[in-house]
Amino acid sequence: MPVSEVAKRVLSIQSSVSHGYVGNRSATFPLQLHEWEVDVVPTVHFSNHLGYGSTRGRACKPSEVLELLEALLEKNHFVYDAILTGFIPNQRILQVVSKLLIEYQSRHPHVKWIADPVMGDQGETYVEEDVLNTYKDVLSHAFLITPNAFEVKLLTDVSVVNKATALYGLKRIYELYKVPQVVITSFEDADNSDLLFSMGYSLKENTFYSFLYSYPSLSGIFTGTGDLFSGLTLAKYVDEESRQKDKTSKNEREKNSSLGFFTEVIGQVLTCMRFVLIRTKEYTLQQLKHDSSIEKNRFLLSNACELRLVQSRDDLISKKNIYTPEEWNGLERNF
Amino acid sequence: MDLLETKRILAVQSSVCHGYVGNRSATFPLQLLGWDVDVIPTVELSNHAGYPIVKGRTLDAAHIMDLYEGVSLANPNGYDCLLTGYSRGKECVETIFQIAKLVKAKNPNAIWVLDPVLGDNGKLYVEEAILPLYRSMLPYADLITPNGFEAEVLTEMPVNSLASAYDCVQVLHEMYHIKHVVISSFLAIEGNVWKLYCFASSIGSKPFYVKIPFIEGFFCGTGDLLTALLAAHIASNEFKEDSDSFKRAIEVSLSSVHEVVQRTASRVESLNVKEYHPAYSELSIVKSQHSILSPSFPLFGVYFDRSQNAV
Repeated sequence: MPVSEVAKRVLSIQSSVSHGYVGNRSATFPLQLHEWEVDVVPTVHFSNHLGYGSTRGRACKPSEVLELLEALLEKNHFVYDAILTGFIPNQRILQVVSKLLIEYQSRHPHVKWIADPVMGDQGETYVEEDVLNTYKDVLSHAFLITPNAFEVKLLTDVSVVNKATALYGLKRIYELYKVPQVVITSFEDADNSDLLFSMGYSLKENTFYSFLYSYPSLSGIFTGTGDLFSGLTLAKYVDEESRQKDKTSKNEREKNSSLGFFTEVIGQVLTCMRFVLIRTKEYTLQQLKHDSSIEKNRFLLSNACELRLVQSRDDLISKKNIYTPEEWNGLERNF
Repeated sequence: MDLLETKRILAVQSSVCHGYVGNRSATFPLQLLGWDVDVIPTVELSNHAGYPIVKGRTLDAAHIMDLYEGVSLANPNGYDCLLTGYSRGKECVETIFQIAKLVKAKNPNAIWVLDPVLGDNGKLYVEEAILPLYRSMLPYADLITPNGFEAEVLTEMPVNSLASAYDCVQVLHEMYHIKHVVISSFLAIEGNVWKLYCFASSIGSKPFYVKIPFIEGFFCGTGDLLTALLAAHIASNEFKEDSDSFKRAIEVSLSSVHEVVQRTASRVESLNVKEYHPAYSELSIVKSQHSILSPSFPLFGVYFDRSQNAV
């Protein structure tokens, strides 16, 4: 594998767990496989994720997060090409993080802030209420955000229940926050109950490139998938961007420009996710077959459902894209 | 990979936000080699102590045990391997000893890889009062990876030649019944020439040494990387078809580390910096994935016969 010349240094600020794959642990291994230098600051350090029902460890104090971020961003002057944020449990820590991040960006304008505004899912909130207010204040500094349908609702008051409302949600995000790249990672459409959808846009040189993907939903308990999604999006985005720059053929550039490479990036990410989830589900089912008592014990079941990241090495770095973006009139007409 | 096959390792050592020492040196390589790595930090620092500014905290014994209890509940199958390294203070070291006993009670086949991080280059990092505690832990460990200085401190014997390394290792086998001992690196002067060696021995097998080519520069985290690779290759028993699987595991691990250090040194050289700064010398682990998966630069072990080496 030739050593990449593209600068790939990211600071990832999310939850950390000793066991399992969520937050920093979901993002780090995939990024490292793509040859990223990943620096990590925890916002919480638990023994395992909260889906197990209980956990040990604790949230980090805002002063602890501040101290580490100051050391990395200001005192030791480390250089980053991207900063990735995910689960931040309360407003105090989010304020510390966003303040230092924005100051760092003002000194290094090229730094891309990838923000997964983790606040909840399927109607359930994971964080304290005032976290939303702070996100509303700072998201305009983000380069790329990856909200789920629930988070779009919190940020825009738009209930995403089908393609039309997803599109409206995206437009409101742009109107309110002017973020140049946005992906609604997954939403349901009342008319297509066994499919899930992903919709987003990328703004490049005053042109919006929007996309819609659909894929069959996969039943099962999966945790850490959003964190994996945002980590993979950063990795594939930068790789695909540098591949585009390398292309000398004018025809090739023209061919891709109508879709924008961001569409291709998300297709690759969704493909990786699919293979990882299928492998994870197969493993879970095998475990259950081997020992049926697992299903009745929340701890054992959560453990059996952990993402099989380490076993998915080849899929994570693959550039395969098994999805074709959907043609939808709604996108062409309105974006 | 077999669907049900999962190799689980618990790594208890220092953690840094930036750079590669302790758990950061160990985790990605172990994951590349197919291990699920659970991590408990003993300290959580911004970067290693060689930088102008170091910030962060030491976890106290209660906190470390709390995290262990959590992962033990979350991971009912136990661990195939336990890797312990640097920890600060007598209470923390005692807690690590307790954790080791608990891991082995849960899975009697678990291998404890103990890196007795005590110091280097003639200097102790820890208080002398901890040494008896470390010595009491040794009989429970399956593989220990002291550097030359640490081997000297544990046995109160010199380690400055192949013969003295052999004698030291015999004491570790006989007095403490440790199955595998690897003195990861020590300097020996032969005639007028300095040589850098690794000396390894396993009870019931022939001891051997590996001559390590010098690479100019100062690189942190190499010992932690070596220990992690040794843990991976020995605990997975992947060289069981070889006539001497232990020797092969050491050779492969040392080769990987050597390649990583070479790549790091080349990068430092290409940066053309006048003064040493730790930021430039962080191990190029992420760019050396092939070296970890299958190193191509071979380092070979040579069997050592004490009777032919009277010095």
